[in-house]
Amino acid sequence: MDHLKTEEADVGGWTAAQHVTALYQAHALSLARLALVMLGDASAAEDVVQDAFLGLYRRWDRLDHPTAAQAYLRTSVLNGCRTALSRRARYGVLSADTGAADRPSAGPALESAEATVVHDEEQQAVLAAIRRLPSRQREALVLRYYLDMTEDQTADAMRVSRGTVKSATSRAIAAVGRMLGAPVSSSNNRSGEGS
Amino acid sequence: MNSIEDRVRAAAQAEASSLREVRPLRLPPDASPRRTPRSRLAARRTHGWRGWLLPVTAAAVVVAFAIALVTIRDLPNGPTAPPSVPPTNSGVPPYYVTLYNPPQSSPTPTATGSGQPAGAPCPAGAPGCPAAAATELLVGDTLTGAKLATIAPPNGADFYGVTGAANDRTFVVDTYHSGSVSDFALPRTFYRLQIVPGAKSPVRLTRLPLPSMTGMFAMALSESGTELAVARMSSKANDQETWLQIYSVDTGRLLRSWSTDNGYVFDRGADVMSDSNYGLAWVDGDRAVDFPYNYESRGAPTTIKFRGRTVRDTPIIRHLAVRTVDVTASGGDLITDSRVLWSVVIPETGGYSSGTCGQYQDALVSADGKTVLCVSTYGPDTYRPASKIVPWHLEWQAFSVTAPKTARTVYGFTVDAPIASSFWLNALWSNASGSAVIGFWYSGSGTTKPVHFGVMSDGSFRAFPVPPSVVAGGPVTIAW
Repeated sequence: MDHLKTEEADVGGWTAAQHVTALYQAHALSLARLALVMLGDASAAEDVVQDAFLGLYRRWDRLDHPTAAQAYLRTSVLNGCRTALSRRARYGVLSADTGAADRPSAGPALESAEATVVHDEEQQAVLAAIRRLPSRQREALVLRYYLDMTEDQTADAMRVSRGTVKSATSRAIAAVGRMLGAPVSSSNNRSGEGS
Repeated sequence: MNSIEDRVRAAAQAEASSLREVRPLRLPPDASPRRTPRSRLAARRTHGWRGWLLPVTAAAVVVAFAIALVTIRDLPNGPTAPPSVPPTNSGVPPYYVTLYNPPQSSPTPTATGSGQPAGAPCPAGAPGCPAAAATELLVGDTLTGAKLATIAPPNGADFYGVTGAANDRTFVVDTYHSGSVSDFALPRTFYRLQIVPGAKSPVRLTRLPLPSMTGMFAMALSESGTELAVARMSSKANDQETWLQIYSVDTGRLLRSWSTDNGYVFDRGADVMSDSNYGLAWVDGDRAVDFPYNYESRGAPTTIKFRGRTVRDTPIIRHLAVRTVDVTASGGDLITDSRVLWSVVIPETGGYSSGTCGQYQDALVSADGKTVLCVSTYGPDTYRPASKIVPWHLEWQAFSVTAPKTARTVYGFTVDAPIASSFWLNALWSNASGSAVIGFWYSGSGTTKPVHFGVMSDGSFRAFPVPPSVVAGGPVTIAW
């Protein structure tokens, strides 16, 4: 009866460490899975989640409302993933005016050895395609199709408009389809592209 | 074959399920929270926390911020509103054309035929359920909101985007047949919409001879209404090409084509459910086409603390930019044959503030090609305390391409709102010189938020009736 213990402890007053630890037990795995899908690296995903909870602990006394903790954690994990992705992508930058600046899909992402083992060929191909996406498209795709967030929820999480979520998701799906060699058009794929 | 969406979902879930446990949380002894009188208050509140300390499913990660009602301190037409625009029609195009989904007669459709339990709620379009309402074209009067005409889509298709010529009478709309694949990949068919005020049939829709196109994400009709610029991506496997193409509206002939595999072109504001990307613009008397180019570059190398170590870091700098391509010059490379017309560094802001041009919308370019417009929100540089009421400043800004560092405020105002607020600002149209903008804004998320819509210029705002298609949560597909 863990929850009863929790209630009794609440009445008696928990320390911040106890609160954060309880939150960690409840949410760390789901958050780490989210980060893993974003990053493709279990170790990095756990680091991001650890950092998020550490940040929550440091800010504990500044939280005004219980729901702020969960919102903080999710936002912090997404921010951590963006930061990690940005650090990976730092190469190949040229001048803006030549237009040869680094591409959003800046090459293969790191993949942990265990991830390589557990996925079949189809899933590896899809995951590799997801990781070639620009970070915003990847984030939209993961939130929409892994967490099954609605467009509005995704927009809230990404701090963008609903239209942008639609845009990013659609372009991501199209790009993944192309990378997988799948037909992304139902028919009539003509019109002389590139002509 | 499963859809791409299904394959993404399956692969993501398989990836996630490979992680079965996480290492224990380690809180370093030096990380103890700062103790303040507030922390005692927080401790007293813990009694109410017990419910959410219980384990929850992964879906519980989805937590929407409860955004309190915005307290308007300085709304237009309020007690301290800026001077209102004189009641003149000058410069404001009288007609808009917008894509509109009329409300269903019954908010909860019930099954009437086979395939669904009789009387049970069922999704529009499912077997035995009513068909989804088709998107209509609505032609309205900008100033009065009066409806001039509505047009149903032809041949069982659905409207997708709209773009207008400078005369505010000639428009091009594209249609598609919805299907199981991404809208983005579906072929488009093009029609001309002509507004003839006073005629027996004030609106005429005629099929254009343009070829059917896939992978479209933006289109813009030239000022003269004779040429259509379209932005497209390839639907071929392993092909990252993006094209900007110009077609003759009257003959359907491809006139010009530029291509690139640069992923920053059009990366920001190409909304699906609309090919009306406001960042794609004909300028300078149809001699050039401007397009969004939002790129990243490196800042100066520095060192930072990262996970307890000192590491070299090269910060990423994000730019909102506009490129221009001379359609009278030769060449076919969208990057090397164009140049950056204007760019601004998007600041890394804290909290929910977006900073200068930080709202996620492509910049708008005036028809003379001399002014670039963007929208910005300035708020606190923190996320907490979420419910604290603070001043937010919302602004529509204009930059001269000859003096790109200094912004002129087309319109701006301040509201008092909680720190955890979100504001959505849009610029939908500008006059030829960029001195006036039609736009809208709303606060918070969800589709029921009130929308403020009108024309802004010289620091003033004039409200217009809100077109029925302009709703919170968009995307809004409208053209003048």
